[in-house]
Amino acid sequence: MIKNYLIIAWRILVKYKAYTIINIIGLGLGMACCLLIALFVHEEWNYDRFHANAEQIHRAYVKEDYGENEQFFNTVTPFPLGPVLKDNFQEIVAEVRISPSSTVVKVGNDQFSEQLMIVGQDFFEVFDFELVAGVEDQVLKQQKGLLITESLATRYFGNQNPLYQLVSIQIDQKFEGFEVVGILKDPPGNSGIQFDLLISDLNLPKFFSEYALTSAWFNVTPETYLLLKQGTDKQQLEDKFPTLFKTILGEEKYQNSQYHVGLQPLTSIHLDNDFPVGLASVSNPKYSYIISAAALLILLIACINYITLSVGRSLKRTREVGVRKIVGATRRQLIGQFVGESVVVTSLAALVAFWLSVVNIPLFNELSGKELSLDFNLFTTLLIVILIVVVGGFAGSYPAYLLSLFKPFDMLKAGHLGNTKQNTRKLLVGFQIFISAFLIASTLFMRQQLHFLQSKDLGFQKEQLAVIPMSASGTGDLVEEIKEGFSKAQQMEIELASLPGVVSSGATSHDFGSGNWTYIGYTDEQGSYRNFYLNVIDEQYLLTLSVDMVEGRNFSSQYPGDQKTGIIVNQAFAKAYGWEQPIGKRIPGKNFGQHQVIGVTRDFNYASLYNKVEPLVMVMDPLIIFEGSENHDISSSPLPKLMVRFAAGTLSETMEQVEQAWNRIVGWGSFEFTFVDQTINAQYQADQNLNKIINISTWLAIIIGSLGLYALASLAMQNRVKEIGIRRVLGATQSTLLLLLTKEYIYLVLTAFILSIPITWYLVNQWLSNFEFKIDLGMETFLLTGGVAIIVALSTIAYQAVKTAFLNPADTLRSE
Amino acid sequence: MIQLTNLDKYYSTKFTRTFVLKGIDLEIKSGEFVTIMGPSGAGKSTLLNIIGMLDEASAGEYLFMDEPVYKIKERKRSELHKHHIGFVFQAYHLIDELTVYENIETPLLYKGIKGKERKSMVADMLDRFNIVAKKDLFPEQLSGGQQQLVGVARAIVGQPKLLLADEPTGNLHTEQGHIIMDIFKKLNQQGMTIIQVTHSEENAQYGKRIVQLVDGMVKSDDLVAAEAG
Ligand SMILES: Nc1ncnc2c1ncn2[C@@H]1O[C@H](COP(=O)(O)OP(=O)(O)O)[C@@H](O)[C@H]1O
Ligand SMILES: [Mg+2]
Repeated sequence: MIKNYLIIAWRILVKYKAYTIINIIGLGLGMACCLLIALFVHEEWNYDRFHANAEQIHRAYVKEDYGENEQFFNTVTPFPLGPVLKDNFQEIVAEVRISPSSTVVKVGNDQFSEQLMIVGQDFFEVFDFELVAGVEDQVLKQQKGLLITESLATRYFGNQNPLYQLVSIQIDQKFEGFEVVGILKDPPGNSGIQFDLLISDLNLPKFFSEYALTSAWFNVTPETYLLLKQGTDKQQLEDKFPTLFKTILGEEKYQNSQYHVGLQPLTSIHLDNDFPVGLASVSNPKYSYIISAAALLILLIACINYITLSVGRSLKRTREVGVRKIVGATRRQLIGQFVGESVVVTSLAALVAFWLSVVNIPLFNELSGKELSLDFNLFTTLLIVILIVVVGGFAGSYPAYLLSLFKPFDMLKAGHLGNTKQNTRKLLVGFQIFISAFLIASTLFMRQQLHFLQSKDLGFQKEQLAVIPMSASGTGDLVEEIKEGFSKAQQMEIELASLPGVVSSGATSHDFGSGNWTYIGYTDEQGSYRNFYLNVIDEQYLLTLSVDMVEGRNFSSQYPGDQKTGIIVNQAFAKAYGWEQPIGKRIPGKNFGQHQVIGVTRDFNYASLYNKVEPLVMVMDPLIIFEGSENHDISSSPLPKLMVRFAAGTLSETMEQVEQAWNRIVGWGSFEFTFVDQTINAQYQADQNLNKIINISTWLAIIIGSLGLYALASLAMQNRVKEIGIRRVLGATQSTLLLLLTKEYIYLVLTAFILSIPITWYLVNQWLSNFEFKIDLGMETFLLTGGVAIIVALSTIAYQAVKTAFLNPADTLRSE
Repeated sequence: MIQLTNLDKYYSTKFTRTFVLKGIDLEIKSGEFVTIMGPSGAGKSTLLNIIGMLDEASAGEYLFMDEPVYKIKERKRSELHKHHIGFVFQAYHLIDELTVYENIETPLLYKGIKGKERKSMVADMLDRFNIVAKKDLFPEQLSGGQQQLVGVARAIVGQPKLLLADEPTGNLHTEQGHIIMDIFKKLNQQGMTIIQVTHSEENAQYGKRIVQLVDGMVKSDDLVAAEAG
């Protein structure tokens, strides 16, 4: 029986090649999208699960609550937390702290800027990162031992054996010798913890003060991971923490801060957006949902093609079904046959899908930021089988149901079935157009917004502007280091002033696109908690950026007082503090050093356009602010950077001259630079990728939908050949016939398009709500979408319509 | 075997009710060979389809093997089609995508007959109708007469008790028609009940009884006087 079904299925596929190909391509594209998305989602869900102890590993977090606007929630923790927890609770088997440090590594004569991870000695007991050379329980016991990943080893040493090689690592501006004692496999793509170089926490005292390491309960730096004993109840363990911290902090501090320590399971870190981001990567599930939905929509469009085409063609198969019924086939057997046929088509489509996925996986990885590969394993096999069964069943069951429904008597009087299901078919095709119109409009709006982000006046000029870090070491007294960096930057400025290719240069603590500027919180004289952002700059900074002053003046060497007591605020600050006359004012916190506002700048976008412009204070000496700050959060490096504006044309040459100056003046570390417009654009990478994905989806939807519409129109027109012949004999002109043939499609497209407007409007606005600065949804774009939809639909059916309208009636009528 | 009592078939439109069959009383016993005749549009096909349970009567009673047909469920109807009734059509109604062999085989597949037995049953039919050489051809590659042979072979391969044939020779030359009729006669002699519709007096003579249908009513019902051929 099955053989009989397969035989007939195959013969029909071969006989109606055009339909078969349209179906296989459409379903193949749809399934390929789903396959890739499923790989993506699978990896997201299985993040960090490759550790044998994954279920027992937890990351500690700390919450402090000092009242309104003054809550702190961190997944990076105080240094003493890990050891103290482990010493006090026997449920904790092991504890590992991971602290990052930006540094410079010298290998022979080469220098590399690297992110170094200082990790606890039980690193390999807790995690299952693979060591390809070296002894697991010894490598981290050596203070001067360095572990590097395989790919870094290749970068440093090429083909040489990396083991026991000597390198120098910059610690606190001095270089110290380390020996490579272990080689690590690169951490897998689905690991939240990523690293290139590891050294033992025996080195921590070189980086951090004794106080920070043992008693600074209100400073947070490392992530703390705990391995719990099998069977430990996380909740019960957490319940024991308050008593301990009451003792450690003392009743008063404990009550003031509402100090709360909790545990977050390792396996939930990646997808939990309620927790602040620590070192481990966190993904926004929203993007996964959006791209999954896009993939499913494409598959749905392809399925609808299959359904409408099968139903359209079922006219030709009514006789077969009628005969089968008469010789004794049950309805269930017939449904089985048709579903079986669609499973055959779907299986062929699955082959196409697999091939398409393999070919396109690099593009997909680029867009999704993953390193996925499509291997033949249990998961992908299962996935493909499920896709075949679900899609085959879904696409095959409606036509099957429909055909099996009719009485054999009616079916043998062929021609009877033709019009009964026209409406369902129209509904389905209308739905395809609806989805396509939605996608077209969405992608146009997204493009507009992204273009807006790039072209919006940020209040400063971002073109031809480079950032050059003045110092790469992250240690010692921060304020001192910032001062030193600034004095180097000042020398650079003098050097660069003589270069013809440099327009101007100025120094700053913070650059653009690499995180929040320094956050300052304090209690004002009225007793309410307030905050603002802070940047440390020099006289040349605002000039170099071309930020306009709206009141007062810039810092100037003509006023020596500016150095110690001048502050410049932005308009948002003046507004937030209700200052009509800002010049000469003082920030209303009693502990701030002596200062006064000397100027107000225009609100330039120092954060991304996702955020509004918050109150900002710019100073030359951060001390006046830090003296009065109760909380500060420095989440991006405040180490001085030089902003250099280049003249157009001679960039590479000038950059070489800048590097020479840098080598003379700064002299250690490695010379690096980034361009501001690029880093600013990079902030919107996720949304740019999203737009690319929606864009691709739109094209796919249009292509698959058009193929379906083409095939459907050709079926519909075939059925009208006789009618058109008669009309022509009766005197209808070809143009009225064309109108007659295309009218219903125009109505269909228009209806579907109009219905799509509210959905598009709602969903695009949802996406736009991520941005503080955004476009308005203009009617023109909707009109453009409608126009595109009609043009695409009409040109798809044009050929068939013209062919039908111009047929010689003598031919069409004779054959009847 | 078949008992029709006061059977009506009509189509209703908004204002009128058109009777196709009216007050049909007909009894057909097992082993009979009945020919239904009448002018075009008289309702012959409709009657045959109702007997074959491809269509339903609008009123009246129909007992098939002593069982009221209106009570028969879809599944049971499939069973009856499978095991008791074979159909032959004027337009042959072969499945275009299947070969001669596969067309004949199809009813056996639905009957669930196993491979070897099935093969021999199909081979038997091919043999009997002299179409062994054509077994791998598709319907469009055959002449009308050959197609109808396949149609008959398909109808009887499952050894039904009742064979219904609606103008089986209507599209055939006289010669081809005789071949089919000879087969019918032989089948009837072997015990198969046959009901056929035909316009041909000559073909009617192959049967044992002629029912004349005019305007949906039985006009006459006579035994065939002398055996033909
Ligand atoms: N679906 C239908 N709706 C209305 N009238 C029908 C339908 N099917 C058949 N008829 C009518 O029933 C009558 C009998 O048809 P039929 O049984 O095919 O006649 P015959 O086979 O004797 O030529 C015809 O007049 C035909 O028009
Ligand atoms: Mg008829």
